[in-house]
Amino acid sequence: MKRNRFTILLLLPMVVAVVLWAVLPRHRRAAMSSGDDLVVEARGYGRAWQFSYGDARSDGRLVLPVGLNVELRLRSDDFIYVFSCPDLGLKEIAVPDLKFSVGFKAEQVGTHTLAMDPMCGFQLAPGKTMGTLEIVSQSQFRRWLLNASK
Amino acid sequence: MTLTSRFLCLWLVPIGLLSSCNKNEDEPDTESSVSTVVIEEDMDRVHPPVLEFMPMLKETSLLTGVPWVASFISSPQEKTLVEAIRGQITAGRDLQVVELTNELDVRQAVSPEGLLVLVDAYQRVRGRYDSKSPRAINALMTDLSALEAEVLNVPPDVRDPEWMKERAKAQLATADSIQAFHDFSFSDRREASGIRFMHKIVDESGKRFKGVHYDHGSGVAVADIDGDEQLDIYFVNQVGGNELWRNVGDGKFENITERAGVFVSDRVGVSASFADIDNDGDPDLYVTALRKGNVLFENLGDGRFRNITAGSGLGYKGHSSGAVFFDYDRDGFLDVFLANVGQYTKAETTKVTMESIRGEAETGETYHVGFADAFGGHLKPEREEMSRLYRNLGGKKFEDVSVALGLEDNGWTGDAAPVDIDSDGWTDLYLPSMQGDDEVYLNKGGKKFERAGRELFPKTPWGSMGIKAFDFENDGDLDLYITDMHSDMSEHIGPEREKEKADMKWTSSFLKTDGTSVYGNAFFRNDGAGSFEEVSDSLGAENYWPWGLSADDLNADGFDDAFVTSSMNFPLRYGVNSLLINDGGERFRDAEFILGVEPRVGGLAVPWFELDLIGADKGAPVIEAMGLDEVALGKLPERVVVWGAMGSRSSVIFDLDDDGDLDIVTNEMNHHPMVLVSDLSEKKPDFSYLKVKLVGTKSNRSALGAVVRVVAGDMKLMKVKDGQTGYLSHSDFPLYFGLGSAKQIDRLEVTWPSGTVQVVDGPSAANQLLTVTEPE
Repeated sequence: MKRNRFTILLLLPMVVAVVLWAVLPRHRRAAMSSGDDLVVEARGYGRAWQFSYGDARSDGRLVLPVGLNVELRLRSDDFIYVFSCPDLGLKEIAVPDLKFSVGFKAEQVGTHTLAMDPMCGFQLAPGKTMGTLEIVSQSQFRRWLLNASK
Repeated sequence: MTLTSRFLCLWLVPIGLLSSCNKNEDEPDTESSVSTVVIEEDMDRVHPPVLEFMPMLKETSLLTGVPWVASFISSPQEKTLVEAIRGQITAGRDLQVVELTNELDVRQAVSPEGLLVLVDAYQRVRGRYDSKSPRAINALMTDLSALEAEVLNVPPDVRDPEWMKERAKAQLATADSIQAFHDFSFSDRREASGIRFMHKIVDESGKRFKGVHYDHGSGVAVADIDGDEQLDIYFVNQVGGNELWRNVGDGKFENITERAGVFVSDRVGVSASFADIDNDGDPDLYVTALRKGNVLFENLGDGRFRNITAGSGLGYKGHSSGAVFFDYDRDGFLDVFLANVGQYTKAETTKVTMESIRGEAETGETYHVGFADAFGGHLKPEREEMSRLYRNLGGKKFEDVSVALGLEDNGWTGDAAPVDIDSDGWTDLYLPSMQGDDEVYLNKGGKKFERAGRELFPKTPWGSMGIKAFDFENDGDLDLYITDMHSDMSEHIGPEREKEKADMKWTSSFLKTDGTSVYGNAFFRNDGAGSFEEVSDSLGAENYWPWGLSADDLNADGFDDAFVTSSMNFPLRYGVNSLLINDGGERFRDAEFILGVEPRVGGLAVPWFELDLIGADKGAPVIEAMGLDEVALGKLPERVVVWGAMGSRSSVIFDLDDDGDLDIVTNEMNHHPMVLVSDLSEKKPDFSYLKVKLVGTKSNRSALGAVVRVVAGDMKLMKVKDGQTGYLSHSDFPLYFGLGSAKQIDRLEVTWPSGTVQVVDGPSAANQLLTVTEPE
C-alpha cells in the first residue's frame, strides 16, 4: 500500500504535466517547443505593442519566463517600431511586411519598461512608453499563460 | 524633465478659435474689411476672422500671448484722435497700442488705409478699424473682448526659449577669438523687400504628422530671368503654388508669377533649377514635383516663360528632388541629373486642410498620403526609384541615358554634386544618400559612368542631405562638405550637444551600411592628389538637423563661408541655422548669433495647425500622441491652435540689392522666407570683390562646369560654376570672389567646359561685374 502511494506521488506530477501539455492549445505548444524555448510575436500598431503567445494575447504587457531562451518575432502593421528595453540591452526594429527578430534569455525576474522610440511615427507625449516587460518565474509564467489564453 | 520634453509640453497652445475663420465669406480683402467693421451686423459677431499674419517686428515681438493694437497715423489730426481713444480702449486692460506709423511697408501690407489694426495673441491680424468712426471703435472693443476670451496661455518658451539666450551669450563671447572679419551683420528685410511669398505645407507635416519626406520642404532658386542684371527669385511651394519675384532694384521685389507664366499650383513642389538649356542667353527653369510630374519652362527672353514639358522628355512623374544641370559629354548642351528619392508616398490621395490656420479657405488641393513607414523605405527594394541622367539632344529635347551610361543608382538621393573628383576634365557625380551609403560615379569621357564610391570615400554620412564642393582653404582644389540630417534623427538631443557627431541609436538592421557610415556631417578635404580625408570635427563643420548648405564669401575676405539651413518643426524644438565663418581656411567658426542671423526677429515659433477637437479632428492620432487624454481634452476649448517651431530648408547666397556684399534668402517650412540682408558694404566700406559672369560659346552658354582662377595680390582663388546654390536649389548667376584687402585683379583664368583655357591679364579693377565670353 505504502509502495502504491509512493508510486502515485511519484507519477502524479508527471501525469499533471502530461495533462497540462495535452490541454495546451497546439500552436502555443509549438511556440514553447521550437528551437528556442519560447517564441512570441510582437506586433506594433497604433503606437502600441500586442504580444501573441499562440492563441493568447497581451496588449502592452510582455510576460516572459526567466531562464528560457526566447525568440521575439517583430512585426508591424503601420509605423516602424523599435522594440527597445534599455534595461536588458534589447533593441530591434519592426517594419511592415518585413521580418525581424530578437533572441534572448532573461536571467533575473523583474519588470522593465519598453521604451518608445522616435521612429514610431512620432513621440510627442513626454515620457510615453510602449509597455512593460515582466520577467517572472517559469511556474508563474505558466499560470499567467493559462489565464491569458482563457 | 528633459529639455525636449519641456518643449513638447509647451507646444500646445489652445485658444478658442472662431468657427468662422474657415469660411470664404469671412475672408475679406483689405478694402472690404475696412468697410465691414463699421456695419451693424459685425457688431454682433462673436469672433473676428483671421485676416493675415502680422509682419514680425522687433518692437512688437514680445507682445505675443496677448492681443494688441497697432496704429498707423497719417496726420496730426489722426494722432490726436488715436490718443483720445487710447484711454477708452485700454481702460481696465493691460493693452498695448503700438504706433507703427514709420513702418511704411508694414502699413502697406496690413493697413493701407491707415487705420487701427487689432492683432491677436498669435500675431494674426483680426480687424481693421477707422479711428474716426465711433461705431468702428465700438466694434474694436467688442472684438478685443472676444480675442481676450480666446487666450488661455502662450508659454514664453515657445517663442523665446532660455537656451537660445545662453547659446547666444556663449557664442558672442567667442567673437574676439575669430580672426576673420565679422564686424557686420544680417537683418531680415523681407517686409521691406516686398516679398509676400508664404510656404505652405501638407497636413502630414502638421495635424496628420508622420515621419515622411514631405518634411524636406521646398527649394528656392535665383537667376536674372529678364536680362536686367538684377537677380530674381523663384520660390517653390508644397501647397498654394510657386512664385517668381522679380528684382526691381534697391532690394525690392514684385510678384510676377502669373505674368511670367511659371505658376505651378496643382502639385507639391520640391526644387527649382535655373539653367540655359537651349543656349539662347536666358535661364530656363526646371521645377520638380511630387508624383504629378516635373515641369520644364522655356524662358522667352523677356521675363515670360512657356511650359514646354510635353515632348521635352523631362516630365518625369515620381518622387523627384533636386535637379542638377551639367554638361557630362561636353557637347555644349546642358544635360541634367534628376535625383529621385524613392517611394515615400502611396497612390492614395487626400485633401489639404492645413491652410485653415491662416484664416484662408481650404483650397481643395490634394496630396499623396505618405507611407507610415516611409523612413524605412531603404529596407524595401520595391520602393526604390532610380535617379535619372538626361542627355540634352538639342531642340529642347532630352533623352534618358541612365541605363545606357551605367548610371543606375537606386539610392535614396535628394541632391547631387557635379564635380570633377578625379581631375580628368570630365564632370563626375557625387550622390548623397539620405538613408545609406553615398555613391560616386566617375565620368569616363562622357561615354559611361563607373561606380567608385567606396573606393574613394570608404565612409560617408548615413543620412546625407545637402552637398557643396568648394575650395575651403584656397589650395586650388575642391573639397566636399556634406550635411547629414537623418543621423541626427536617431536621438533628440539638447542644444549642448549640437556640435557633436550623433550617438547613433538605431540598429544595424535598420542602418544596413555595415560600418561604412559617418553619423554626422562630413567634410572631405581634398589633398590634391586624388584622396579625400574626412575632417569635419577638426574644422567645426558639425551641427544639428542640417538640410543643406549654401557656400560663398559672406565677409569678402577670400575664404568661402557656409550657411547651413538646420531645423525640424512640429513636433520638435527649434533648430538653429548655422552660419559658419571660414577663419582663414583653418576652421569654421559658429557665427549665426554674432552676425545677427539668430535669433529670428519675432520669436522662434508660429501657429502650426488648428484642431477642431469636437468636429473634423475628433480622435485624430495627433491628439493622443500629444498626450491629451479625456481629462486634458475636457479642459480645452472646442478648437485649439498648436504651435510649431519655425525652420529653414533651402537657401541661396547672392547679392540681392547689388551693393557688392552677399545676402541670404531662405525658403522656410510653413512660413515666409527670410531675406537676410548684409550690411558688410556699410560696415567695411573698403571691402573688395569681383563678380564674374561667364558666357559660353563652344561650351554651354551658362558655363556650368567652368573653372575660374583669380590672382589678386597674394591671393589665389578658385571657383567652379556648378549652379549648386543650396539644398533643392540650383541657380544661374555670376561667380563671386571676395578679395580681402586686394584692390585689383592681377590675373584671371577660365578653363571652359570645352577645354579652352582663357586668360584675362590684369590689372583689372575690383568691385565690378566682369563679363568673360569664351573665345569662339
